[in-house]
Amino acid sequence: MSPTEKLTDTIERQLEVENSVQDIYDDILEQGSDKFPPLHRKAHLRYTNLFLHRPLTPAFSKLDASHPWIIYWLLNATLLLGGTIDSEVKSQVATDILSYVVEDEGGIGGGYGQLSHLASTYAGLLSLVLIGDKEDFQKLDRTKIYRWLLSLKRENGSFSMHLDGEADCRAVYCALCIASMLDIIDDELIKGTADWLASCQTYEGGFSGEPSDEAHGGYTYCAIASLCILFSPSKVKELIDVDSLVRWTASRQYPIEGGLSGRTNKLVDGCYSHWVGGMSALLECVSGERQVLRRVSLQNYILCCCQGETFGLIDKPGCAPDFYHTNYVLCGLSMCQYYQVYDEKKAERQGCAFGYRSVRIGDGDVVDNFERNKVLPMDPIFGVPEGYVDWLRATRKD
Amino acid sequence: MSQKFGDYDYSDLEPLPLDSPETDDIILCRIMYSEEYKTLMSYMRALMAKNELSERALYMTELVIGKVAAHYTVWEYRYKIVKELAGEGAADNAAENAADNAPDGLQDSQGPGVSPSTILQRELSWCGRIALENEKNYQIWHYRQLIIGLMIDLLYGGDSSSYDIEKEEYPIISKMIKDDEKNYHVWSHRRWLVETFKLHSSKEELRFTEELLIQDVRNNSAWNHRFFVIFGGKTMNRDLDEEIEFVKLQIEKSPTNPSSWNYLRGIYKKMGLNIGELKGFVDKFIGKEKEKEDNLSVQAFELLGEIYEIENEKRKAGEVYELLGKKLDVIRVNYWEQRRLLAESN
Ligand SMILES: [Zn+2]
Repeated sequence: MSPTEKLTDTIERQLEVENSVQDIYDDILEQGSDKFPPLHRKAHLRYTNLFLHRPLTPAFSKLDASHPWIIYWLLNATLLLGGTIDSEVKSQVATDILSYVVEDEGGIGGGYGQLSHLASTYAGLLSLVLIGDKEDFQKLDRTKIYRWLLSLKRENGSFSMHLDGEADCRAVYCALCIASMLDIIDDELIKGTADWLASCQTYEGGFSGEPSDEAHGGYTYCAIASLCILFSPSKVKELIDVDSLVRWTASRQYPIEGGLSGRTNKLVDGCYSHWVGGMSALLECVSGERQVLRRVSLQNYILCCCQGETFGLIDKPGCAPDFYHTNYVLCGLSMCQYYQVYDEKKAERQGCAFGYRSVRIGDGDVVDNFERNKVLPMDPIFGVPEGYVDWLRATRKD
Repeated sequence: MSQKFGDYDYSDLEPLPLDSPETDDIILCRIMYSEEYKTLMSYMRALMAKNELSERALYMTELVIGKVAAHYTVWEYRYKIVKELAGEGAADNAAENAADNAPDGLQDSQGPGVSPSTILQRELSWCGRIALENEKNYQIWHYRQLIIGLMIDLLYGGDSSSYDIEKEEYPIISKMIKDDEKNYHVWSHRRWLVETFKLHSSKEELRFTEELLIQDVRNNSAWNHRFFVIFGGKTMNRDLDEEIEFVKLQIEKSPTNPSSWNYLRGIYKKMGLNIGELKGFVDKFIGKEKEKEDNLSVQAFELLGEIYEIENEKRKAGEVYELLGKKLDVIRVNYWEQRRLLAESN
C-alpha cells in the first residue's frame, strides 16, 4: 500500500497478519531449513481420534444442528492424514447418520428429530461413503430423496437448503452432490441450474452466493464444482468467463503470507486453501492452465502458520483449532501436492463428476518433503479422498 | 410436574428426548447438553410433535434460538407459528371474538387476538436483536425476508411500497455494518432489498456506499454493492462519466487497492468501453518507477499490459507481464507467465 494512503481498518488488519506471519517465517529461516515445520501428522491424528472417541462438551451445543458435519469433518481429516477408522467408530457413524434420516422427506437432518437439510444430507452421505458403508447407503430411499430435492427446487434453477430455507450456491452444490452420489439426476432436476450458477459470476470474476452478491471463495468452489458435476471441463469453459475467474483466483494468494483469502481485501484464512485452492484444481482442468496458484507458497503457509500449537489445524496464527479448519486446511494441503486430470473415458462410463484422477505434483519444493508432509489426494468434486466415491457407481442398483 | 418458562405454562406436555433411543449407547458425536438445554429442547420437541402453533410455542422457539441460533428446524417452526398467528389464526380469532362477544371476558389462552401488525413488528425487532448477537448466521436474514413478505401480504395487501424500509431496515443494517463492515449476510440482505423494492435509482444506496468508501476505500463489499445498484438495474440512473471520475479519484487515493481497480475494469467491461482510453490515467501510476517496488501498483501495470495488447504491441505487453511476474508480483509468477505467453502468441 502506498505510504500516503489513509490507514483504514482493512489495512490495519492486513498489516497485523502480514507482520505476524513474517515473524514466523523469519524465525524459521533463522533456525535453518532443517527446522522447517513438517506436517504434525501424529498430533493432528490424536486430535481427530480424541473427538471420534469421546462425547462432546456442552459448548458444542452450538453445533446441535450440524451433527453430520462434525462426523464428516473428523472422518475426512483422519483419512487425509493417512489414519484409519476403527470398526467400532464405523458402526457408530452408521447408526448416528441413519438416526438423522427424516422419515417423510427421506433426507438427513442436522441431528435427531430435525428437518432434512441439503448440507446435512451432503455431509451425512459423505460420512457413509468414508466408512464404505454400502449397505446403509442403499437403505436410503432414493425416490423419496429425489422428490424432496425437487420440492426444494426454485423456479430460477437454484435450490433451497430446506423447507422455507435460504437458497444459494452452497445449496445447489449440496443438492447436485447428493443427486450425483445417489445417481438420481435427471433433466427436470437440473433444469435452469447451470444458467443460474453462471449468473452468480460477478464483475470481479469469482462467484457469489446469489446473483449480484460479492465474489466469495466458498461460493466459488460450490459453483465451479457444481458446474463440473453437470458438464465436462471443456463445456464449463464455454459457460463462464474463465479468464476473469483465473485472474480472481490468482489474486486470492497474498505475497507475504502465501495463503489464500476468500474475497478481495479480506485476510487469508487456512480454510480457503480448500475453497479457493480446491476450486483452482478444477479450474486448471477447465482453463488448461497448469498452476493458477503457487502451490509451494500455500503449502508453506499451511505448514508454518496453520498448525495449532498442540494439535489440529487453524485459520491463521493465534487461532484455536476446530474440526472445520482441521478438515479444510488438510484438503487444501492435498491440493498443494497433486493436480487433477480429467479422464474422458472414466467420465463417459461414470459421469462427469467421476471423471477426475489425481497426479502427484512435480514442483521440487513440494516433492522434497513429500513423505513427511503427504496427505491423500482429493476427489476434487465431493470433498473426500480420491477413490472413496467410486464404489457408488460400481455397485449401482438399477 | 409443573413446568413453566417465562409466563407460559407447559405442564400439560409430555417432554420428548433429544437423542434417538437407537443411539443411546453411542458416544460418537454425543453432545453433553446442559440440563437447561435438554429440558428446553425436550419441551420444544413436544410442541413440534403436536405442531402447536401458539404464543407459548413461539416463546419456546425464542429460548432455543437464543441458545443455538443455527437451529434451522426451530426457525422453520417459528415461521409456521408466526404465519398462523398473524394470518389465518388472527382471522379466526377476530371471527371468534366477534361471534362470542363474551361479556364476562372468558379469554382463550392466546389472549384477545394480538393484531397481525403487532405480531410481525415484534418479529422484526426480535430478528434485529438476534442478528446483533450472531453475526455469522445463515438463518436470520432469510427469516427476516420471509417476515417482510408476510407483512406485505397480510398488512399491505401485496403493495410492497407501503413497507417502510428507512425505518425498518436501514437502522439495523447500519448497526450490523458498524460491527463488521464486510458482513456477507448483511450485504446480501441489502442487495435483496434493492432488488425486491426496486431501489436501483435510490440516492440512499449510493450515499450509503460512498460514506463507507470514504471511511475505508478498501471495503470491497461496498464496491460490490455500488456496482449492483448502478449497473444491475434495468436502466442506469447515474451519469457514467461521473461514476468513472468517482472511481478514478478513489484509485488515486489508494493506487494499490484491488477493489477500486476491479470496479473500474468492471465498468469498462459491462458498458463495452475501450480500456485504451485509460492509458493516460494508468500512466500516472507507472511513471513513479523510482518509488519503492512494493508501493507500485500491480493493477496499473496489469492494465497497461492489456492496453498494449489491444494496441497490438505484443512485445511491450509481454515485457510488462514479465516485469510483473519477475519483480512486482512474484507470488503470481505462473499467472503472469501465462499472460505473457498468451500476449506474445496472439
Ligand atoms: Zn476459515
